[in-house]
Amino acid sequence: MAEKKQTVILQTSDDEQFTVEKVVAERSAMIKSMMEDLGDQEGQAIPLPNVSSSVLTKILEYCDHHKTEPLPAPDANDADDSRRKTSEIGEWDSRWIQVDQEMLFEIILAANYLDIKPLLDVGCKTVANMIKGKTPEEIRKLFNITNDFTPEEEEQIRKENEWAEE
Amino acid sequence: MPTTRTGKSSYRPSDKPYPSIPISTFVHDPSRPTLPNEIIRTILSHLADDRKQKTLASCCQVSKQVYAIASPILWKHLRLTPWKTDEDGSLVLNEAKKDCGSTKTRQKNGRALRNDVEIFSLYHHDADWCKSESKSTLQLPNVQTLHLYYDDDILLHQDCKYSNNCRLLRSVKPRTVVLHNGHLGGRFTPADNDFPTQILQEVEVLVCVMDEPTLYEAYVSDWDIAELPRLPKIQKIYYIIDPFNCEHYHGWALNEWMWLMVCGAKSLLCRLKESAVVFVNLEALALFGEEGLTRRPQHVSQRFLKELHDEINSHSEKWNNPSNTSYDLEERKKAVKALALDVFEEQEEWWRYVDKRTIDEWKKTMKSYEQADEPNEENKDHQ
Repeated sequence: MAEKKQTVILQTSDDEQFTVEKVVAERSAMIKSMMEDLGDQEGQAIPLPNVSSSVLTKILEYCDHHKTEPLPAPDANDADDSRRKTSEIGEWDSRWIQVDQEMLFEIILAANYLDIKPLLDVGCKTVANMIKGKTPEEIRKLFNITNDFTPEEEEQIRKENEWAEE
Repeated sequence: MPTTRTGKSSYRPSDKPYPSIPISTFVHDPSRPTLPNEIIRTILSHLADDRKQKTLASCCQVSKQVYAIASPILWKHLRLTPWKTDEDGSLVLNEAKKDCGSTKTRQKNGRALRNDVEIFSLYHHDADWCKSESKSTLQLPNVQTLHLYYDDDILLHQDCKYSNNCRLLRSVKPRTVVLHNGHLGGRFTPADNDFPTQILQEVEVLVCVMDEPTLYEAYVSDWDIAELPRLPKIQKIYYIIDPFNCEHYHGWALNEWMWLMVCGAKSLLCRLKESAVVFVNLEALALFGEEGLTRRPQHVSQRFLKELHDEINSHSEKWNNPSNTSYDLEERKKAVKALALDVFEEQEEWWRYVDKRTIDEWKKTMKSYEQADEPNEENKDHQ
């Protein structure tokens, strides 16, 4: 028992099944608590209806690379924590996250759903770096959001934030 | 590089007026994923500590949904400066912000926005810019932390005549004040009118980030904090040594800098009956000394504390404070701490006083001298 690696089966939205080492799957606080709920029911697949197989493959790569690191404390204070930490993304992580923007958003959404805090953090920092220095229109394209301001409203907002201009 | 002390500032206009806002043509694409508000908030909060807040200001213009998220993050930290950094590193007047010192009170949503401000950073400026004479006071009722960035002459206002009545400052009642290359003692007294002293009433923590010239000024003024009577609630004073201008040294040896710090600590202990005094990054003093660039900065903090304790032990009879009330110096000397930069990062709430990038720049500066100190090992690798 001790020698055999403990595994868990994950089932994606497109009905693919992944057999994953428990220490890798545990990176996801959501899967970890589901495994605890399921107990010892061998062979029972955990359904992940919000994650596609292509995204899960990518995320498991991340989880496998970080499997030996300590899990973040569940009640860590996010705001203070992010300030204390350096805003730079680790070398391996920044190479790993070089994907197209659609995939990046899918990864962020999945990290949020699966509750993998450090991964969500890497994803959000990456997007933050992408929008730095961008114009409002460029940010609309990136976030896929339509402008619902009238030109007058937009001009007024620009005025009220004039102090923050470069 | 810190923008406040990069050479002479000039009032040369540098910018053309705004172009008008381009018409938005982008339309939401339903086949592409979008992020929920909570995630957009997390993303934008990573931009909050950036010194350049233009990106957050751009986010406010994106849509009503993003405005609701971005605006409180942007307004949490109000930074008012008439300056921008030119290509050659000198500070020039930013035409886009020409009136920012004066327009705030007339805005339509002004009151609600100003209530969001918890951190207020104000850079040195001309009295014309803040329009000190104006009767309208900038109301920032919820400011907890005030950062003041001084100019090369250690002044907040280039024209001192009106500055003690600066309309941008006179309403704030912060609990924490951070003086970036400024000090409250000596020639920075109320008589000079460069400081609206009423803002000090509620201050519990005073932080002086000091580079070599500022430190020298503090020494000249005998570390006398002239505003102490106006700091009735003070609990803790930090002196953080900024290594940035270390090449401007006065030709002192490290021993002399050490002695200066011991005198400073003594002076503060005598005047502050209860408040703690924390010296941070005394290691930078090794770079200020005449041996400067060749001296190893390790263990300076420990050496400082030892010298301070020795001084207290050997000259205790001279430690009568001005009011002649004797308090236990053995007890008081415990109120002085000296922390290396990495210990400061571990033990103290540093992010309230200096931003991450500034700390990283300091570390880089310190490290570059440390490396210059070890040419032998470097050379070995190349041979």
